[in-house]
Amino acid sequence: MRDMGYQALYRVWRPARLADVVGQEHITKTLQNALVQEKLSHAYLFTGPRGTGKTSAAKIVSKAINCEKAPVAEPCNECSTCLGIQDGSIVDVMEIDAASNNGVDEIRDIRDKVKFAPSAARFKVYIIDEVHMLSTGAFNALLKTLEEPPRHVIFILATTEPHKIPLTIISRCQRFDFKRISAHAMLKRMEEILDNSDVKVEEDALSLIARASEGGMRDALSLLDQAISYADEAVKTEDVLSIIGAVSQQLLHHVVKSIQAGEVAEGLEAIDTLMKEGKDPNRFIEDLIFFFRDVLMVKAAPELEESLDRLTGDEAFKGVAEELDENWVFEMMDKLNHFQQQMKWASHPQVFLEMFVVQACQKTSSRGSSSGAPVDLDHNETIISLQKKVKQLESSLQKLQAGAQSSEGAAAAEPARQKPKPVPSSAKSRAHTKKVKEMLHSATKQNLQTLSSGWGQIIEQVKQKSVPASAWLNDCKPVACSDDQFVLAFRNEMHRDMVGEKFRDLVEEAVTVTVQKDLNMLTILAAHWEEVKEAYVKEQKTNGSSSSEGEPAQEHKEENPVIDEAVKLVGRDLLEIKE
Amino acid sequence: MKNWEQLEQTQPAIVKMLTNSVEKNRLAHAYLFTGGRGTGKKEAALLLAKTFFCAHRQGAEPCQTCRECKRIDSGNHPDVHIIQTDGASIKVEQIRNLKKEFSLRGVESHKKFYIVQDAEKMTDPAANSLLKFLEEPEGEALAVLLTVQIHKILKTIISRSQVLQFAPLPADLLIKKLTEQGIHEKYARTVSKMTNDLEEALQLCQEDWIAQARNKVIQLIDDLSMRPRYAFITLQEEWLPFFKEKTEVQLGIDLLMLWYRDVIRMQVDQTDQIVYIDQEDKLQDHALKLSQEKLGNNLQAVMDAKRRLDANTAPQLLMEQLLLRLQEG
Repeated sequence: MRDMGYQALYRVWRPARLADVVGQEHITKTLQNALVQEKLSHAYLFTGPRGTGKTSAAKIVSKAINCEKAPVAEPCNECSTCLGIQDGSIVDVMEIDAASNNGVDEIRDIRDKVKFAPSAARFKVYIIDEVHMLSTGAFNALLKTLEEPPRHVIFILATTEPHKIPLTIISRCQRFDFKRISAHAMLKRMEEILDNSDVKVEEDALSLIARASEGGMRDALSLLDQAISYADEAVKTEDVLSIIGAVSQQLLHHVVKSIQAGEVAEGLEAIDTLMKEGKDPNRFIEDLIFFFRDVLMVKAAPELEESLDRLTGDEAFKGVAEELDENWVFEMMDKLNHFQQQMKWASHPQVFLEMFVVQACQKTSSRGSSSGAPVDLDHNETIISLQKKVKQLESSLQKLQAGAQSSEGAAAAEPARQKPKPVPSSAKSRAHTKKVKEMLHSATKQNLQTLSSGWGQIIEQVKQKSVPASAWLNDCKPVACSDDQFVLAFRNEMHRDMVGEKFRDLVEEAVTVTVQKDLNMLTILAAHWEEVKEAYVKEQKTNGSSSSEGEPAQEHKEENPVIDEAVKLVGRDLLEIKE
Repeated sequence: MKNWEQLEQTQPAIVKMLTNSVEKNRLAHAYLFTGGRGTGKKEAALLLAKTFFCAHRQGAEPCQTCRECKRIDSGNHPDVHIIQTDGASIKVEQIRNLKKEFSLRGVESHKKFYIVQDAEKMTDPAANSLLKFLEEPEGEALAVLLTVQIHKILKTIISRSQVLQFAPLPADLLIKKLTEQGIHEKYARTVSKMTNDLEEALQLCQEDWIAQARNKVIQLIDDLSMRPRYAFITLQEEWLPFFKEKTEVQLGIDLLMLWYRDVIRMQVDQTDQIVYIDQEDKLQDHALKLSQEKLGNNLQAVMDAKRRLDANTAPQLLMEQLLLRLQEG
């Protein structure tokens, strides 16, 4: 059976002295001085984010001023008045929930009763919590009373949303802005609380809680409470991670790295695992933002205490932080902010996360990042195209020098370059086919995949420079790719010729920019391609294991080098194996 | 009704959290259950209520047979209150009544339990007037708020409660369950991406609705890529008469979104994630022709349309604008 009332940590540990109100020294000091000097104002307004101690401070002040030992800086919490206020038996201290008593009538009621002298204590204290919920009429009804209350009355208004309070109210109160509590201060308080209980909590887990609770002490204690309930014995970092639905730093690093490298596939995979584990996409975006923020902080001010804290004992973070380029980080944060906004209202938050990965990778790969070295990325593309241009110029120069001969001198730079010779098409086709056959030995499925996923972008780039060229390209698709060559299969011979002769440079340039590799283009007719492919597979069969790389056939029926080779070439999904 | 052990299969972390709290006698006074539809929030809340009241529970497991358990099952327990939306929202009157109810002693025990369903639908005054009550309830009370969108909940409420994030059901499990019910895999896959709830999924599959909807989407996409001018006619003649209600339009847009996601997955060669498994050729074709940047823009366009629909834009205008944006890429 449940005993009478287990109380949440944040209720048990509600501060009872001003000194215990953590992280608000600027306020507690002022209040303490005012209490000692008996110079308390008649109206206070406490504002600040949730869980920073507004209501607690109000309660403490109400006790301290009525304490039998007054004037004192802190309530004694022992005398009958203090205890009476604590348990609510002294009605002179009234805590009013403005959210449920927000009408003019309730305020009128206060106004009428204000006149009467306090019954047990020295002062009547009205604590009006959530005061932003008062209606306009109620606020206005309060104005006069708030300005000139009887001597024995003190008002303390508390709210998280000061912008909703009329200026006329604010100007009649002494306003105290409670700050978010720093992680450091929260850690100290939590340690204090834990010292008084017999629970063990890992230090990392505590700092994780402090970070996750975003400056709200109550949030921190709620989380701590939850973690203690969740954990089997001692509270570990993993326990906290699974409660707040956050991801481990490793996964975060992994995602950042794959985005930076432009690896869409890896990024998406990471997100899939994330979702399968039931993590919250919103939380993840936030974690990413904070991660980048930390990176910036460490970069901009490595001497800062917080930076040093962050860096100690986290070698992996140090490594990642050093690799990242500041401009890139800014760009990412911008994007993350954008998606975070959109995500809040969406019922498919995961999609936004995926969009982020795709778009973020996009930026990187199209700019051609060289793994974050602080080179100005913008210029990379230009450099590549300039290099191409120089090559072109060189080749045409040499062409001119060599007279009307069609051979190209640039072959030195690009030995495998094809020569658009005016040969009869059948002969040309044969030559093409031969070349393709040769390159197949070095072709891999992975190369093809990289090329295919960038193909749409290649077409776009070509289109920017020449619309007709992109039109000719519509008919073809990449079918094989090695480290220095790729093959385009065309359905139509004319298209093949046009692309192969007129637009070769354009296409090759676009490919180079997109996949970051200097590739030469080979062209082939789709029909021929089928033949070549078959012939190649057959050849592999007769050659037997000589050319197979001993790659173990995976889940498939038999260990057949031919199939292996074919798989290597086109991927398993396109193969149909017949006995 | 499920017990903790059964619930543990789908929500291990949640169950561990709650049962441990019960066993350690550290049950908080306010919980906020958040997570997608059909993840078992309400089941967990009711189960918690039973554990809370059951006279013969063993460990954390309620007996399910005593008077208390049975009455919670049938919704007749006098000390268990469930607040639901009154019309479109939860009004401040309802919270006031609740508070009044709580200022009285429990009918049979001194304990009370309340569940606020769709907590994000609380009006601003309602949410604010719950604050003080949530923080320091009179007597022994336990509150469970259920929500699908935690971002619509006041920060001040979140900080007063223990937040439990319910994991979405693994899609594989849902697909398996659906195929067991005799639904074709391609439809099961599609539906599993649109909802997490088995009941809702089955409803979508009724009378082949999902099959038809899928065909409409594929047709629209086809027109869009091959004969852009016909797309608007298709929209007018096929799409709009089929997706009539707002919720249906919503689903239609979801289906479009899934298509573009598939194209991206195709591009990066993660074919096991694909939803439109019978359309691989077309997806491949699209994957080859569209750059990732364009795909990103397309997805963005679809998501924008979805958001506008929530803001009550006329479906026809919305869809036409979407088509124009998709053509631009």
